[in-house]
Amino acid sequence: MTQTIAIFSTYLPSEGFGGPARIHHARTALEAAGHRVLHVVLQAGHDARTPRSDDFVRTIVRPFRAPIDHIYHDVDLGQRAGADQRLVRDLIDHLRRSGTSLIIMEQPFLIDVVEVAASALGVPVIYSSQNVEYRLRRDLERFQNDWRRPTNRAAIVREIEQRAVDLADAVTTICETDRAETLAEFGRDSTLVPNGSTVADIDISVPASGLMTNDVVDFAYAGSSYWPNIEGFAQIATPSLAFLPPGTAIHVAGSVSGEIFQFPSVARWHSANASRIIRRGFLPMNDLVDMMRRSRAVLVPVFIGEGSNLKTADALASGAPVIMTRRATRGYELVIAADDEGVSIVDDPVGFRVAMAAHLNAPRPTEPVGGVRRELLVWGRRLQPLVDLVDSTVDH
Amino acid sequence: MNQPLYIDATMLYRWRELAPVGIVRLERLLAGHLRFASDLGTAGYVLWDRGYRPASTQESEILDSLLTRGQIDRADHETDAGTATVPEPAVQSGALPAIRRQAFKLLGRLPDHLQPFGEQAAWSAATFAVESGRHLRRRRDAGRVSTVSSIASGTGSKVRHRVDFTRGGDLVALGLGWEYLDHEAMYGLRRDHGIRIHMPAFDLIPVLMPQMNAGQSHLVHRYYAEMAHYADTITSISEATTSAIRAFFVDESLPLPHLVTNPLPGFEAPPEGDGDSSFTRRHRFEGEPFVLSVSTVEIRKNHLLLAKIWVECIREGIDLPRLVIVGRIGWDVDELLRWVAHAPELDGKVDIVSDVDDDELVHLYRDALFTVFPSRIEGWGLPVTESLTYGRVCVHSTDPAQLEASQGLMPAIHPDDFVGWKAEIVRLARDEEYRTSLERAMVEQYSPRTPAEYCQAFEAILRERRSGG
Repeated sequence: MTQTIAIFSTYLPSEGFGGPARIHHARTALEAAGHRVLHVVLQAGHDARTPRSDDFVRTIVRPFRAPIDHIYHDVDLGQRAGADQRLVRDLIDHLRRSGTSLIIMEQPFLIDVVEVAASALGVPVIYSSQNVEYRLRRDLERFQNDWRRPTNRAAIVREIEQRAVDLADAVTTICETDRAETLAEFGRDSTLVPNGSTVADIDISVPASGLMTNDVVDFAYAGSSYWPNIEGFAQIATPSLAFLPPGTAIHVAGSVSGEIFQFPSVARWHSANASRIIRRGFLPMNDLVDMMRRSRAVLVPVFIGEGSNLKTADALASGAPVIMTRRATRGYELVIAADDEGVSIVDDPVGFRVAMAAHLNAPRPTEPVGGVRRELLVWGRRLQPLVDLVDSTVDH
Repeated sequence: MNQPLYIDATMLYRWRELAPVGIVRLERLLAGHLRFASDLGTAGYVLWDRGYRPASTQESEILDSLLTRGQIDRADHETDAGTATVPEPAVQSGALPAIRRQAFKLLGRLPDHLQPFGEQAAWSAATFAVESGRHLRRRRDAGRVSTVSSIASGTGSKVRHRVDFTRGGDLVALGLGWEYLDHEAMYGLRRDHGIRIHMPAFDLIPVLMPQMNAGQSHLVHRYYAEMAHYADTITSISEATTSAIRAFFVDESLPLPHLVTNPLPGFEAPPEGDGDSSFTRRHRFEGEPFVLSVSTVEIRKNHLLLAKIWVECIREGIDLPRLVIVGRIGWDVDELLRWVAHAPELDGKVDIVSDVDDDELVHLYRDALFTVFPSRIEGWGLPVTESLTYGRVCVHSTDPAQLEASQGLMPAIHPDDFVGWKAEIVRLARDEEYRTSLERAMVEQYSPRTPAEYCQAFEAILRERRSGG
């Protein structure tokens, strides 16, 4: 039976990478299953992308001169949204008019709004956990020390998560580790809905026709300027990247490339590092995939953080060998078990460096690797448990 | 043994008109030995010019003249545009400053309120031009592995050697490599042609203490790190430097080339009372006792400690001799210069002199009561060697390289031990018997290596590597 499902998030959906890709593909998968899906996006800034007409998108304005705490900005955003009575009223009207019968809440930060909306509409809620958020935030605090920050901010996030779990009729997590931790921490079992990869949908046998197609790519690294991404790369670049022979080319794409030389340990030996790093900035999807596929290995240096990394899925689906940390395998254990061709898993930065040197000494791969795991990482397949959960939740 | 031996004379040639610093002196010594005294057989000089090329006949003659006589024979080799064909770095060529001057002139004609915009526009345009050039070069040089080439392959454009390296052989590159070497190209020489590259290691100070030399730390770090990938042999000037290099390579997970120590030699002091007119000139402090400190005046050399000791002693009524600091003014010494210029106690008691030539320096060493060298860290500590060569006691730091240079015969004190330094200086100034006992120990026990021994040891290292050792 067709249901109208509202997916709540603090960012607009997008076909590309990260959380936006997940909600984009969630909509696609649910619509493919015969449901009607609308996005409720309460975001911090204006986004030029045009939502569908039935989506509800609002910018939550920050009070003039209110300080920005980047680590907890989505917590602040959620609280401000919840306090905006007019916004909540408009939202409930919108959901009522659209006949919403189920809410999926991505991350716990919009709990104030969702609690009111779910109560007003009398609809079930699925809380889609992407992390044990409070632990992650606590870890991240070291990247942006701020003496003005109250010491209990992580504890407040934990409260929000607990409320999300308590409100939800069903909870989803993205990897077995998170599932176990959610059970231990919040006393609630969850359904596993792992991440997939947009890259898995792209035909990698056709080279892209980008400007840099003749460049030698030894290693590829892509990510946002999110602290753990920069910090992870910095760990393998400490003391420097000089362990790689002269001329080695590490191509770095995404917003991380703009930030990488701001990180003190990478900046310290700038000359040796810069001679081995080629910053590519934002690349069109096809060029990004092409960069990855032509590399000797895609790097996934994740040393901190919880949850399951979407960039791991993209790396595994890229057709190139992958060097990744054991932490980065979370959520992809079965995929790697099914097809570990070209996958090197390491435990620490030293192991990462050794693996990179070994890949340089090995012949450059001529054919794409990991065909089986590409198939397993297609979003539609990975999100099938969510579709099943929606059906069972509504039936129940 | 019949493989060619190339001498990279790029820095020797670039420094042909300049008073040589220590490294260049050393390079001249070794290059001279390889060229004229060794039977290893050299293929001659090569010069870096967007790739290596053989030195022309005239350039070789100029270099030979430098190595044999220490100066260019100007009668035969006028270094005009026709003979000096090694391209200097672009910044020295005069073209860029001229462009810059023109740009500033044009900007100066703009109304005041428009000048910031004009500057911004100029910078934007310049940045765009430079970045576009880089981008185009990168596209042109697509495929890094093919950018290192030789006459034999004839391909590639980024670096093009005009020396036929396909026969293999050895390349001795002893100069200030961080200023001009293309590390990718050097790596290519070893990887593609099997060239054995022999490099020097002077010190790791900019890496170990970048705060003392922040401007060069990146370059020097990269120089030593890249060297690990392509050098066959690294010859360091002291055990302290060898240890530092080895620890650095391990820390950076770098390959470990053949690493050997060839300690710096002493030198023969000109005989006292030599009739040669060049040694008859008197120095400017003649007739009064003084303590000497010789080195570039820069923060690492720790001269400020000496200034503070002299101030305190004078305030306490301790009559210290004049302190004479000889060396060119380097960097980060504003505080020292303020002390020397403004501390009333130092007026007429501490002098910094930067215009001392070699002959005057010899006299200063001979007439000094003793010398002081509180440098924090050194690759070797040449002023210690010089002081001992002239038979003068040298108080130096506990830095391992300086201990090597003095062979443990001289008083050594931690560079931050103000009280220790003060006590030692006061004792040496007052206690003639103590000073004499140290001088006697020096005469009896100090045994520096000779330059010939130093060169022969270097030759032996090369010989061993060439024979596959």
